[in-house]
Amino acid sequence: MSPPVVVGGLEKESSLNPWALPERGVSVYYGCPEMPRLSHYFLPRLLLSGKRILYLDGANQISPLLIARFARERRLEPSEFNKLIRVSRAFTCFQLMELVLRVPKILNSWSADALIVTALPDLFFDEDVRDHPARAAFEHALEGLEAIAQLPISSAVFSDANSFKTKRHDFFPKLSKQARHVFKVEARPDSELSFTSEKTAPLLSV
Amino acid sequence: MTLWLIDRNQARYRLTDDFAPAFFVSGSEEKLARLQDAARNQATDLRTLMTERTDLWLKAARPVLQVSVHSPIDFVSWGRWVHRFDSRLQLYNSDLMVASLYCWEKHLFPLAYVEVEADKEGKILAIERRDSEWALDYEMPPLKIMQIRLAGLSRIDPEHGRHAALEIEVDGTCWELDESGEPPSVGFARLVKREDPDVILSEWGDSTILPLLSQQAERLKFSLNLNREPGVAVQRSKPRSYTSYGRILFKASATTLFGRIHVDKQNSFISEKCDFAGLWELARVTKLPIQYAARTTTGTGISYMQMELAHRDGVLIPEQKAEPEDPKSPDELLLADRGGLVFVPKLGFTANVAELDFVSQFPSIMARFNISPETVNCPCCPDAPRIPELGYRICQKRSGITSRVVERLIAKRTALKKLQKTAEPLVALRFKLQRDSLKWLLVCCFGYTGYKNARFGKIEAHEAINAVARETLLVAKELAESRGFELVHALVDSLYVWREGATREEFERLATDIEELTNLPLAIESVYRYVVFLPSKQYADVPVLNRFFAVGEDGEVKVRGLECRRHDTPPLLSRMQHEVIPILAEAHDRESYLKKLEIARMVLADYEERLANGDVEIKDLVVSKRITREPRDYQKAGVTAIAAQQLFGSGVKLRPGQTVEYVYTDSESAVSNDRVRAFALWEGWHGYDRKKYKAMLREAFQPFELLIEEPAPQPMIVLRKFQRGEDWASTPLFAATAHDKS
Repeated sequence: MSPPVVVGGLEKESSLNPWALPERGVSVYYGCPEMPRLSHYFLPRLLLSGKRILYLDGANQISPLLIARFARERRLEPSEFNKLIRVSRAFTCFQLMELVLRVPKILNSWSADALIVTALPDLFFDEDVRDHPARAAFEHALEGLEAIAQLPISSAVFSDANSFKTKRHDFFPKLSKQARHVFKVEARPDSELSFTSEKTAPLLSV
Repeated sequence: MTLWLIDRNQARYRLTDDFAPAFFVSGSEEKLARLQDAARNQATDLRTLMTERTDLWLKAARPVLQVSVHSPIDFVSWGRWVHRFDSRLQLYNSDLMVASLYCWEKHLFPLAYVEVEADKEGKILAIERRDSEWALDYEMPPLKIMQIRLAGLSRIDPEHGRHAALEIEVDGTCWELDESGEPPSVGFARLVKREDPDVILSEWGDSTILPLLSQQAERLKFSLNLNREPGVAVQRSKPRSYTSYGRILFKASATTLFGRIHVDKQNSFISEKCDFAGLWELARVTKLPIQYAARTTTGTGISYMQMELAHRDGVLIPEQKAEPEDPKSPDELLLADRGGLVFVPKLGFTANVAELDFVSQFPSIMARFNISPETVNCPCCPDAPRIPELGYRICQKRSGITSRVVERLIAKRTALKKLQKTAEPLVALRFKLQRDSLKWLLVCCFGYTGYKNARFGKIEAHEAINAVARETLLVAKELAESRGFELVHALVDSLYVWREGATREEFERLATDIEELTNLPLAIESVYRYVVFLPSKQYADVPVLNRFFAVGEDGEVKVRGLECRRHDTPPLLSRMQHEVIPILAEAHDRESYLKKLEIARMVLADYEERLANGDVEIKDLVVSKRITREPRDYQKAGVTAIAAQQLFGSGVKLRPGQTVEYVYTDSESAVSNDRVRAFALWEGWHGYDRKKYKAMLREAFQPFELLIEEPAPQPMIVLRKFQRGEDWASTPLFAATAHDKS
């Protein structure tokens, strides 16, 4: 079961089903706490239609048990879902940058229909990493995302960036600027989630 | 580079040596050419050279630009300059400690015995090592040590308001300096100048004593020269709070000297645990500067040992860990992302139990099976043996960097153990401290394979080691059970086994067989007369790990998880337990235990009486707790928060991760501020809460009274027939290693 939702904002396609990722370009989901965990709820729809997913987990939040539960709730063996997902975790911003840059190479050996990235740019807020290398790595990751946006896959970034106190407050706006879609997800007092589309860009700009 | 040497006559020499450390830059040909041009245009002496070095992960040579910096002090800043020049360039070896790089290049190490040829100005013409960092029994330089501390209770942070005289000791002669006579900084400066110590060993010198003496000297407008090196300022680093494994920790500031060593026992894990002998050993094998080695984690030591090997192999040392996890399916992740194996203890009293421990199990696995970040799933060995459960391959063509490091450490530790057995007591103690410091290095080398900031870390190596450890423990368990032993507890690398009437020889035979089957060293830690495994404090029927006490055949007691093992326990409680345990240790079975328990209860009664009569020193009632936030940020009036806020109110600056000490004064008071008193602010009229401390004493005694009734009949153990060569022992990985062994 997915959490109950309310949708709003600019985007027509998202208002039809908030748990469907836009088919092309990079989308950013942010807002409520535990966004990386929320990413799981986008998986069943994709998996049931046989779509393959590459999951780059910067938040170390991927839950194989939750994915197995989704499968069982649909009277499927967990292996049916598992065979369609590949996960790679990153524990530093440099690893996440490297993973994003390696996506085209990974897709050459294991083709995917959707890409999910968690904790971008959250991992780049690590205070143990000096500002200059963190910025450089983030810029490279954005370039990697730019390249991914040209690929025929659906890509979504799940970020908790707003819950951090950081001096690197320009990172998230940069990511949003580059994304084709930005969705704000908020928890409402009645336990519902609201999805507000804050940005949508045309496929071709004039 | 400046080197300080001491000869056997305690004469000191300050020598200098030319050294141009180099880092490497990788990028496109065009970018490297531009960088080379820019480097040539710098006023400072930079030398560049196109060369090749090995990329650890690609396992291939990579063209790189070597940048040599002729002013070592600017080494790190030139690396940053390259970053600013073009952030797409990748730097290697650029943020290493210059002192360690110098040691690597010149084949030296701190405290090494060397032969030097120098000119009249003290410039080194030739320097040769006449010593080895792998030597077991080595000659140490005749260091002159000055000890400084504040009088009174050393565990209380003097920054919390403790004022006391400064005690100074050199070669058994003591001085006490306080504010009643000349200012302590004046007296201290005179003593430092006259005694000219090589080492200042302090307690709270980093954060309090040396900074306060310097501040006083500044106020009095004279220069307190703590360094031997002329014209150089004392180096100070800032304190900081940080999170590690979910805990808030505090790193105190550091005060380090030039030409002289300052070690603060309160800010040095290794010297606290292993004394000077351990610190010297650590500095020698890791080649870290001594003052740095004293204050850093042993993980940094392991990292530097790995990096030295990489440097010697011509492998590029990345600035940060960037190698991510290989993609896996969720079920593969579930299988791989697990730790060590645990079998929960059988609660209560069990007699005649042997503890079998795999010796340095994780490092031994890394060494024996060549598990190192770059050897797991290498591209060069597609048909290599597989790790049990996970199927990861291990390189057959080259030895891993981490495996080589741990192999040397294990070998040295084993050799020291042999020497220790036959040495005179004082020398044996030194060997033990050396071994202990190597143990701390080995302890963290496994964790570092998965640590996010380990440059040569790779999560698959961490997972592979855990998988082998789990299989090893299972094999040991099954073998024990096939011999009729019952497993009463197992925890990652140790097993507690029992069999009715089993003799030591039978336990030894079991250990030998397990060792043979697993290819990993196993030792009998002890055969216990009895073990009492204790339950959770909250749930009396739930077993917990590491809460037990056991008495060996020789009466030696092993205690885990009781109050006397905890750092926050008031000394009164620890002392009571330390008195009770030897009494109980005299028991040899359940009946005699019950008799001894009666005597132990009299000890408790004696403590309670002294408490009630006010016959207890206040320092024995001090509770120490770590604060997890700034004092003002606490929302609830917990006792730790109250004590922290009392200190804060009296002007003490506290940071998350620091420890506060307090005494219960009236724990049930409606006025929260009256419940406890920070120890530094406690005065006689505050008294102490007798009822609370009595309850604490009782609680600390309770484990001895738990679970001593007759156990329920044991369920029948169904043994799986286990034969040699069965299961994982016959998988290619282990079959291959067994073959190697033969």
